[in-house]
Amino acid sequence: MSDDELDEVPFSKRPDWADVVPIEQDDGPNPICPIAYKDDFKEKLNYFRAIIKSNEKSSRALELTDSIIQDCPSNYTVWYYRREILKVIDFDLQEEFDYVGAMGESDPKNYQIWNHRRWLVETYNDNSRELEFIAERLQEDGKNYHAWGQRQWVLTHFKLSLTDELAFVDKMLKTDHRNNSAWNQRYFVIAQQYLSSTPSATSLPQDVIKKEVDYAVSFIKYSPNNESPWSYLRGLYNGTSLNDEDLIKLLVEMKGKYIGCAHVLSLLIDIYVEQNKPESLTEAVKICTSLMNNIDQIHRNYWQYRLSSLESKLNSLKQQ
Amino acid sequence: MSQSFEIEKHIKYIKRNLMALPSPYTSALPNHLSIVYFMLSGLDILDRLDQEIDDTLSTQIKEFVYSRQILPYYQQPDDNIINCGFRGANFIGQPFDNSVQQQQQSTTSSSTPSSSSLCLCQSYPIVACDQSTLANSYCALMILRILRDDLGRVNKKSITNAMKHLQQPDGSYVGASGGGESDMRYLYTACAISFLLEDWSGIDIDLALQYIRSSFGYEFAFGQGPLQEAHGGSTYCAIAALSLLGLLDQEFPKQSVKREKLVQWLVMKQISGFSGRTNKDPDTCYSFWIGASLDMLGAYHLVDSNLVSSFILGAQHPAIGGISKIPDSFPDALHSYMSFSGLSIIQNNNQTAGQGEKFNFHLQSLNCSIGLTNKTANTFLNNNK
Repeated sequence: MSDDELDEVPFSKRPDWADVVPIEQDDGPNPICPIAYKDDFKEKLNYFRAIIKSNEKSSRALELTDSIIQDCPSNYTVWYYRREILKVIDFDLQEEFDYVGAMGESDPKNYQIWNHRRWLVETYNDNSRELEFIAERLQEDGKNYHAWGQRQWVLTHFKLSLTDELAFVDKMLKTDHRNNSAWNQRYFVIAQQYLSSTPSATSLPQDVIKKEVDYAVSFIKYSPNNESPWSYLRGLYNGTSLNDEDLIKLLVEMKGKYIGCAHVLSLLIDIYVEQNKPESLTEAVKICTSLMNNIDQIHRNYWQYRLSSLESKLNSLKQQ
Repeated sequence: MSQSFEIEKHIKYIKRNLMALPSPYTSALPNHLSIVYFMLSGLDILDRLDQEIDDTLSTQIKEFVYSRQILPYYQQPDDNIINCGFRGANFIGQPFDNSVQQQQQSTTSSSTPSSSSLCLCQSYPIVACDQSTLANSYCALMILRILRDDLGRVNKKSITNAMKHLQQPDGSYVGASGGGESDMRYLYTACAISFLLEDWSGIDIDLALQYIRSSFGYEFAFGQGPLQEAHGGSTYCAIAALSLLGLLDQEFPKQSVKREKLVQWLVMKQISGFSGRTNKDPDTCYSFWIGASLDMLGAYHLVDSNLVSSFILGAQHPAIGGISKIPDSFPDALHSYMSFSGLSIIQNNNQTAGQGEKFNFHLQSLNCSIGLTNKTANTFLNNNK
């Protein structure tokens, strides 16, 4: 009998379960928001209660958790009990990875499934399947937050190659320029290399910033309105001055080329504010006005707010 | 699709769910109390709590919630203290009547004889897999507050003691004693529980602050953890945690670059409704996560309320009520609740900005950092002053 066929036989009809007396759920006389479970699910839980009561940790109990998890993969208690069983019975690690892998394929955004996977990897100190499995999930959904979280964990926990990871991210970004999760992963790698390793560092080294600006710009050239590389570029300067001659030259050039690109204008305003000179602020006011009135009308209220703040900065400078 | 707020249909939607949830909600079993919270807080926002929940029903719901409390075992009160709090549902065979030992009175019928020194213990031993989760404890306390319960039968100390064990060396929290992911969501729920219990002893605040700071990413918004992608949900959790701790303005001083950039990130998530991450599509739940974050930062007036409200109203189900994730799709409890909250934030911000009747959906205003109406929050906040 295959697993699927076996699954169709109710537990109450299985000879090897005849010794177990199922226990009903007790929700009291007036349950609120009761869930209309299907009968077979209700029955599985009835048997689960009996197993918990007798504290049975066996392969048939494992099979029962398997069956409940299929219906309710978010049930953290059942997953917990499954791990308690695995701790005491003999089982095949590859089979367990296959099982949690299949679950992860059909329900890739479930916390418990990812958590169980992480537990297996950590407990049995075996990361041999991880990067490939995660890459497959990311091929299906490049922005899966769980998958990226697991990836970062594996990379740091096992100190895996960040150079290889940079190549992986590059491949992901070539597939979808707008994948902000992949841009974040690039920042993760750069930060691991240059920030986390030097706890005293508050900003990236200048040569790294230049190299990464070039990388971002190479994507901006294809689609200037893609917010992700702009956000990345701005983030590189976190903790350091934006008032950089090369950057300004580049942005002014792009401003002329990409007419109507809100991102380049927004960044220029930030630089002009940092410069805090009358001519810079006058230019910022001009740019902000066009964002408000023409280029980015959805965020009109916001640009209006920035405009008033720019104008008051300019006025106070003029009065000095 | 409708552009007026169909309040009566939503009331019916909630009442139907209170009676029974369809089988697709099976996966919500372990977090059942969150669904109950969405429905009751929803009624509260829609300003129909008193009308729809009479005293009998209110008592029944409170008993139901209290039946989910995991209390220290009266014979070994120090055993498995880490499991205490509230579970999502009684699905591993716990008795409904957990026989809380109370001196004054026993509201459930078959309590074992009480002993005066054994207040708030349970009559049966705790088993290892009977675990509370922070999310369910948080929802249980919120429901009790909505129903004007004084939390008199909550063993507060056992919850804060359990919480101490859930905080990780990096300052974040795991959601349950059985393990699992640790992130900003649970850090927020830990803060919310402390706030509701008026007891912060379960949190190492300096450590929590460190985690919050280290999760502020290059996009000037928060991820679920350090170096994770900036996300509307985790950004809400971080800002609301800071707000409950009374540290929001200290961590993000007014006019500081980081506050200004955070506000800009939030504002730029507006596409029509809000999206939760850069280059993602809008979703009604972010009308709360992003909207509430902006509200706490005093910056909601910087977005286009017209577009947000149209997006939400367009996602109402024309026949059965409720609100879905995106227009032309099926409603669910979470997105309905988040959308009611989102509309309440719009209404409140436009009232103070003098926008008149246009955004008056006849909703109660929201305390954005705790996720209750101000009407409910004030019932216990005022007591503390």
